[in-house]
Amino acid sequence: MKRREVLKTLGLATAGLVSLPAWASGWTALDVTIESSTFSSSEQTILSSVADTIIPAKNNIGAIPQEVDKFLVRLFDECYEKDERDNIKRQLNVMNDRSMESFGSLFADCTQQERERVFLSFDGSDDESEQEFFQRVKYETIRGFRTSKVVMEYYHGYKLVPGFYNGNVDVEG
Amino acid sequence: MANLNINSKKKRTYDAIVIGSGATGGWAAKELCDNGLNTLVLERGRDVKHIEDYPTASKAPWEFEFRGTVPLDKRTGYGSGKRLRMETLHWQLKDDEQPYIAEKPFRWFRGYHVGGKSLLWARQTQRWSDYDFEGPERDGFAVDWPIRYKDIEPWYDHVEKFAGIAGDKDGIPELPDSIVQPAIDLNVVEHYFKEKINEHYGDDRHLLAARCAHLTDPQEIHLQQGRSKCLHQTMCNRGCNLGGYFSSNSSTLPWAMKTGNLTMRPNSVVHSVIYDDEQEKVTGVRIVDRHSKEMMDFYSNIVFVNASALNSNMILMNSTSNRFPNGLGNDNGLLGKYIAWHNYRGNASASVPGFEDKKTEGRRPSYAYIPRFRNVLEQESNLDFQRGYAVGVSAGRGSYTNTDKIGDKLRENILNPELNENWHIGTWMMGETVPLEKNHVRLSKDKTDKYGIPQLIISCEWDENDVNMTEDYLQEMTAMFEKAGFTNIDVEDTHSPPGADIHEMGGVRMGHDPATSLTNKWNQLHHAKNVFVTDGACMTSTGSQNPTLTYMALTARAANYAVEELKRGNI
Repeated sequence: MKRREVLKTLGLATAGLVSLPAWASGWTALDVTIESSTFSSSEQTILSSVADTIIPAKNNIGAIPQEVDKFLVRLFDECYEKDERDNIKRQLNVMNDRSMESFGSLFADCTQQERERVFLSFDGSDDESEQEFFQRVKYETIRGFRTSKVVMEYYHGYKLVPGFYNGNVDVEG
Repeated sequence: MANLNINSKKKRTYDAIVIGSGATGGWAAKELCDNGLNTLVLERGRDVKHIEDYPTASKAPWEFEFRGTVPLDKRTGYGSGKRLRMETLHWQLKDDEQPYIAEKPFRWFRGYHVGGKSLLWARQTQRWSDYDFEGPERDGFAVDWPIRYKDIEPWYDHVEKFAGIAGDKDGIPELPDSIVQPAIDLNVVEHYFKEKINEHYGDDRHLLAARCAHLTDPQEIHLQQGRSKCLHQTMCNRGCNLGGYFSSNSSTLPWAMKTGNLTMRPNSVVHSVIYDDEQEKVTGVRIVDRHSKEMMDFYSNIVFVNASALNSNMILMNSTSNRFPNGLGNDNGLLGKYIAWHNYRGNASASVPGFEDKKTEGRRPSYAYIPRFRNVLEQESNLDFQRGYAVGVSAGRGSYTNTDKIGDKLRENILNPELNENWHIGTWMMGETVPLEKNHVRLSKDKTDKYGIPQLIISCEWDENDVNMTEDYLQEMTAMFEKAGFTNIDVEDTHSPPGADIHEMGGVRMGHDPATSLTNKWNQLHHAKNVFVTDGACMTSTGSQNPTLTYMALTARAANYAVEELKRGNI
């Protein structure tokens, strides 16, 4: 596919998450959408906001600082079947409708608490496709966050090359 | 034109041809080359050079764009049943590479690249004892092994020194000690379990640090190979940039290459071994080039068949001639029969209370091992099965993250995982299966693959002995766990299919008598003494040990014998 070829030439397809160019510092990831995605600009904005809702940032650690939103867009574009992806897009737009109804704002413009309520309404839903959307997005957001470099190395003590095994370590405290 | 043909044939003539570049093919190549033989290794798959061709080695999880998930466009050609991961996708076989027919459920794992499954194996290594070699004779199944421990002992020494094995000197007769570097130590819970087993079962059962092909204290010979100490990355099946574990790619093949006597020819799908009816001997090997599909012949004095158990069967079955209409060496009709494997059906696990103040740090590429304890000294009259099972054991603490909520709480939970309340211990069985004539492989009479080679039909199934043995494992693990004070005991017969163990063997079994076996005590085909079969295909019985170490020792022994026989003018 042509767009994949373009991405490959730019070294983006396999080089890991898309990173902001130096001149774009001061922009947040929410402001920068992936041009080549099947998700529209508006859908990407909502998805970023969902990721931010699930794992909000504190001290620059969270879904957005760890670029989990970009991971989600690329993951759903490249690794998910069309029908699953279409459902995700559909539900993202439903989220916006629901936010407007409940709080008079687009999803991304609502507060953390308001966004949590809207997103959680999909979990309790009778509609299977709403539940599916909730489970998928929550699961992949957690996965993307958990396996990011900062979380693994700094918080989980992950070492690529531990060099040892100690099977008898005292737990502190 | 005639001159061109002669020159061309000369270029394709060697002292020895080795079919396959996996664990045993690599050893055959090394020994033959070390002895000055001009050796051709034919590997059906692509080349994989140590370090250069390990694209995912030493990559952290976040270095994979989708964290291991394989994008859709990379999944084409692989059946939906396959569990694909980006870390190891490049070792996977496309579905159309080699379709086969499983008449009964069978899982056939293949490693079609230079190095074969020596890149992918679990690196677990244990020696056989005479309790294993004497099994068929004592218990009246299969034919007598034509060798005993004393025949193979010096070759275990030989391959272990070169490969590098980590473990302890345990002093257990049924599991002879290896030449070892320091063991990768057990953890606190495994040590406790070991004590409890000793307390309740005395000298009858033992839990040990599993012996494995990892360098914990590299010696001069390993440094000469260009390999260094295992650093516990535990990404072994991606290939190791350190050569920290034994593989053909890191060890035997580069060594053979340095002698100047080795020619590697990857992308060479072996079609058959050539038997010349006029000369009344095997003269070489026929291949189909993987890319051009062209058929080519290579010639040699000696042929080593190390294509992996079922492939070695296939090649011999496909090697027909006037002398051998039913496959090379197959006068007695037993080629392809008595296929056996290891019973990996049983799992048993439990919670381990009482170690709340302990955890682990780092990672390890190995675990703990309980050697077979059933029917060792005799066929026990109170048991309803023959032979027995070894047990793999691994305990760990693990941690837990509550992901019920979303928002700040979720972030904090993920950043601060909690140690599980209790340690957990898991075990798996590795049972010997009794080879039965009805369990066999044969070639399809009408279906071929894309190389024009007949497809393999695999017809293997579980037997009552396997069911009863599995039951015993579940009962015994329950008893051992209970005696150790473990709780929440969970046992399961997974009914995994034959082949899931990846230790399928047999079909070209060794024996004294050409009427009831295919290969002799030197792994030579009885009826074609310049052909040696030293991979899993030669196994007369399966034992309960991880088999690769034994295959490698048999190979080194047979290769050195082949060189001597060649010098003596006998082959």
